[in-house]
Amino acid sequence: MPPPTPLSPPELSYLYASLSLSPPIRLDLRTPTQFRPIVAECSFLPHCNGSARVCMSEAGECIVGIKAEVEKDATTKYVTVIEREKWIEVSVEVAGGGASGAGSGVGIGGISGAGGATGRDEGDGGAAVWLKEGLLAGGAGGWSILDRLVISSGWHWKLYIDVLLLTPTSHPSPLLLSTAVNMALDSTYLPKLTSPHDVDDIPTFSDDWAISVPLYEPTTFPRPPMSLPVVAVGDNVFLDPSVAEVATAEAGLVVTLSLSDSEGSCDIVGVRSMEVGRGGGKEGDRKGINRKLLRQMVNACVKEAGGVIKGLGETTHKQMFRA
Amino acid sequence: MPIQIIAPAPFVTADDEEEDEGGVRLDLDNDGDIAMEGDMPSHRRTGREAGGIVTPGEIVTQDPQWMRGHGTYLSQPSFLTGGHQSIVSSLAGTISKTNKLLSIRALKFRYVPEIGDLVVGRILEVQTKRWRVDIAAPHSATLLLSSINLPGGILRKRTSTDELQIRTFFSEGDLLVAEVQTLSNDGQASLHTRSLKYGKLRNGVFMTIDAGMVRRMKSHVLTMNTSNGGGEVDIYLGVNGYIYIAKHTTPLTESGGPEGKSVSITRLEEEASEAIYSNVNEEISPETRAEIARIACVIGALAKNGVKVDEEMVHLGYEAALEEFLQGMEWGGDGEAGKRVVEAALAKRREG
Repeated sequence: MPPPTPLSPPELSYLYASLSLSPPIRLDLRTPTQFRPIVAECSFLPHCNGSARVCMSEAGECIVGIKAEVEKDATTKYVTVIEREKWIEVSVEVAGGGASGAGSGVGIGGISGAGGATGRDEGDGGAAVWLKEGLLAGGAGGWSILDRLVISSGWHWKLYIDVLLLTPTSHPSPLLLSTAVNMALDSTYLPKLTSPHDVDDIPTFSDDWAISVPLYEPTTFPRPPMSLPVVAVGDNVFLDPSVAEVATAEAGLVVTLSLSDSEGSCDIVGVRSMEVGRGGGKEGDRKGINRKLLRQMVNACVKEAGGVIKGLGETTHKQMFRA
Repeated sequence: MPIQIIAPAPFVTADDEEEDEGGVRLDLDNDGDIAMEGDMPSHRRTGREAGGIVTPGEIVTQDPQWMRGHGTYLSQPSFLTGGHQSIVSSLAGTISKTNKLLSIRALKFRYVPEIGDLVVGRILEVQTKRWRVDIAAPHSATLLLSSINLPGGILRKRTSTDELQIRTFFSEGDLLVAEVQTLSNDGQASLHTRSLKYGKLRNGVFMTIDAGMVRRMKSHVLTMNTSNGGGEVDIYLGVNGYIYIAKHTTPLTESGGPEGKSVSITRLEEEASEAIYSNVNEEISPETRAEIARIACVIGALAKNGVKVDEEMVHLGYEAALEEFLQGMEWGGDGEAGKRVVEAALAKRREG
């Protein structure tokens, strides 16, 4: 791969002009809300409770493995929020050392606040923090993934979500990571508890995987969260922007959503701003983002996310437990 | 559905028994006898036919009758190989043999510059008297200040003023089309743009494909007539796999025409050189932009489907894409669209 270079001024202005036309012309002839095809598979890693592999044309390839471990609650009576948040551990690594090693935190696609370990005592900043945030955000009616991790009184599952980027680029798309984590979570199965729920003793489990319990019930909602990058150029809004489109954009958001019913409607669980380029103009010439555009960007995500998450879920379930 | 999710291609195990058409087994000795069954683990077999795939460090053959060529080396005789010297692959690629010479053709390789190649490059760094240019080669190329067209006369000597203004010609990130002028001992290329054909690129889009996917042609600058009111489009097919597709602009030397005769030669050159380093695009119509995007998609699809890109294929591919477009094809979200276009283009070529 050639080293990342900034786009030249003529390129930027060409792209900016093409993308702000009505209707816009994307370089790969996509419609504004169309995603690039991805290659995805799940449940392929042995020794993992759930796993997924996702390849994208530009962002490269990503493998996620999820392992669950039985752990005793740290405090017997009052489990604090901070304690509970430690039940899920996310780590993002770049294969071959790359730009940043384990623990130093991989900054993802310029999501602001996800650039390093700041103000968090986990010491694992960047993408890991951002991914975990989406997971913990929960759903309607106070639903939380953490409740599903409770085994019995005094015991819980500890989830280790390990993300490995195989082809490091300077800007791993947030979509790549979130798709892979979404699929892996959706394919995660935990052994079925055979001992009673309300006993403090060490829990026992069935060793039959055929009756194991899915982490996210396939028929209930919410489904695992998913983050969609969206950028705005002029008055147009684009989903799944390419690297060049991000560089041209005037505003960018990463919207985290989870599916709330079978109709495909979504709940917004988080919005983060994404660092974008110069917006076709000169440095420091960038326009502000008004409320209408902001609403348009989030709405575009909400509208399309249902189809995307459902599509991913269907693919996941089709590949599940295959021979 | 707004997203297309493709299951990965199933893992195909190479079939040991199948003889490829034209595949020559290297295990055969001169009499045509097949080598002993036990002398090599059977999984090793697959790669060792001409045309088969080998990986770095894989023993290609131990037969002393073969000579080693590119992409191979001779291993030290060891007890593992039974005291024989063997030819080992140093690349991941296919075996090719010419008489008794064995060489490995790499599956994927970087561009190796050669003198006279037309390349598209991007400025990486501005130095005092030269630029460092990324041309997808193992070493970045250099472009000397003295080997570009300087404003005010096509062939004047460079001065210290030019050195101070070096960023007004090219600065970091700029795209240019150039020719490889010289090569140093380690294969580093030195470029030149001393012709009005070469220079800064604007009015279009940049894309990259594998270096090996561009067929070497007489001319690497194509001008295509596009449909749907797109007008003429220039395609700079860099030999290094960097491609620039832009709206056609008449070279400034020809722009005069009959009424432009009054402009003196020196004046013309001055105008040319001032415009040559401009960073401002011309007015480009949406129709042209759509056709440029379509051509970019065609070239990308050709390269992705393993068809070498040349003038003929670009034309045929573009025609095929237009036909598909008339039938209402949505290129962007259809993963198979590129493949269909390439197949249609290949069919057209067979028909002649």
